[in-house]
Amino acid sequence: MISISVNNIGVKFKLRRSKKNMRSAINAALRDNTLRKIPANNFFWALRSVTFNIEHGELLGIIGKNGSGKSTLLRVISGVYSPDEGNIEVEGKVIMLSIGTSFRKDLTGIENIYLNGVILGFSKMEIDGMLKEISEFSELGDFLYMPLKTYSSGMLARLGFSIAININPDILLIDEALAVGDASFKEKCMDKILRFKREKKTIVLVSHNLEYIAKFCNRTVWLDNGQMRSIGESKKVIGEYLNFVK
Amino acid sequence: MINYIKELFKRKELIKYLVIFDISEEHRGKIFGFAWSLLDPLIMMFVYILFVGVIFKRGTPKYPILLLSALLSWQWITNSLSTAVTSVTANAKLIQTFKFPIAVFPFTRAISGFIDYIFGLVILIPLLIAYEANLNLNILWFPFLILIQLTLTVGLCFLVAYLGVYFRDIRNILQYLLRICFFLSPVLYAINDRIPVCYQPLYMLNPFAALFESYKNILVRGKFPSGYLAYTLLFSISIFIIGLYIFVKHEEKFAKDI
Repeated sequence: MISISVNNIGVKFKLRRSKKNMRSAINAALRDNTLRKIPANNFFWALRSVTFNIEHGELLGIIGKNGSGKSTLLRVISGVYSPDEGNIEVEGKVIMLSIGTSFRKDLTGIENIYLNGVILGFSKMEIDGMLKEISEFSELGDFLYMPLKTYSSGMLARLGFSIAININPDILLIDEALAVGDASFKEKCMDKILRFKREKKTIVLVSHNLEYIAKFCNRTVWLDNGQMRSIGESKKVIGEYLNFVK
Repeated sequence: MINYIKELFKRKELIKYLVIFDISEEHRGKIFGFAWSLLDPLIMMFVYILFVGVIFKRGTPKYPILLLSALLSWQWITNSLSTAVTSVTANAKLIQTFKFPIAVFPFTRAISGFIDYIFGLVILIPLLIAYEANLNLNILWFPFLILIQLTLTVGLCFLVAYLGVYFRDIRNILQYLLRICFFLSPVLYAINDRIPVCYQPLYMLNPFAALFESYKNILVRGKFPSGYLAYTLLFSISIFIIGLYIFVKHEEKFAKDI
């Protein structure tokens, strides 16, 4: 049973620095006595020709250097970016988790739980029902009634993870969100992730912590410059990656 | 586009929470807190009375209510637009994390402005009675005016929110545009006092002019809305359709381009 099917996708970005503005136009004019035309095809491919399938109940790892397209890939899976090439099919409710990004810092923890809940399409009643579990799992106690600007990055990670886990998605995308949690919380999260896996949910884990990837993921994708360098059994792919970066 | 509007309606709960959070975020940590929603229009009114009535020695006995009935409406427009212009970029993180209709952000800005407007009415209504405004059946036009303004404001919010992503200079330009519109609208003065009759048709091309004149007519003067209101209505509907169309057309790309 296929849960996520990625077919030959490509995502391109316009290059910001080539954007026409007054200063660059004047500079160009002074230099060459002419207003230089900026080429229209000034973009780069953050992802290109990426193809793979993920089955229900699979834990897939994604590794690669900074800027290799890992987060872009997660955003394509979550539907935030629509691919410029190829297509993607995703079955079920997706939640993406990355450190503190889905919050508003002036709102309290509780308010942010509701904000994330309603964005994901839950009603107030449904969120009321999840609130107890979320606050217990987060162990944040009275901090939940404080604005998020008073939180440490570890506390933000706790809140984000507690929401994502207890909202019960079909597909969970994790972008380095475990990196800042303390040891006991990390363990608790991994327990929860393994339980997800047993429930045949799909998890995609982006991490630079290769030990974690090797331990938990069945298969791993290695991205380099937006291209898929390798996919397969985690230990094998990690080995190739380590050989490459050495 | 119809489907998109339906989708927006399905997200009532999200819009409700965004409005509540916007308001509570704005007033958090202030000594007067929510009282500012009432104090703002009141103080604003006194500032203009000082300016026009005391310094320029202008204005009639009913000037305070004439002023406030148009000023509240103006505040709704400026508050909504000046926050809508950054509403997409300010929520970049949420937009890049979750998939949901992004139009909720500019839409929410228009609604928050409307709620401030309702608070303003709490000040305006007692004043209308105290200053013996000529209230009669023409007041029945009021919901209709509100509806026109809501359509216009939502449409403009979509438009400036889109421009705020791709043409960031709009943030500066908008301030001045709004200021010019304010002085070219009958808020501080009466049209017949200040604008020569031959220029009035040109003056009324500003869609806000008929709107403010109509508020003054029905709330204070006990008269029919301005005849140019029909133009404002058409303008509002067009802006709404254009604004929504442009916003929806580019929505998919916002996550990448913010």
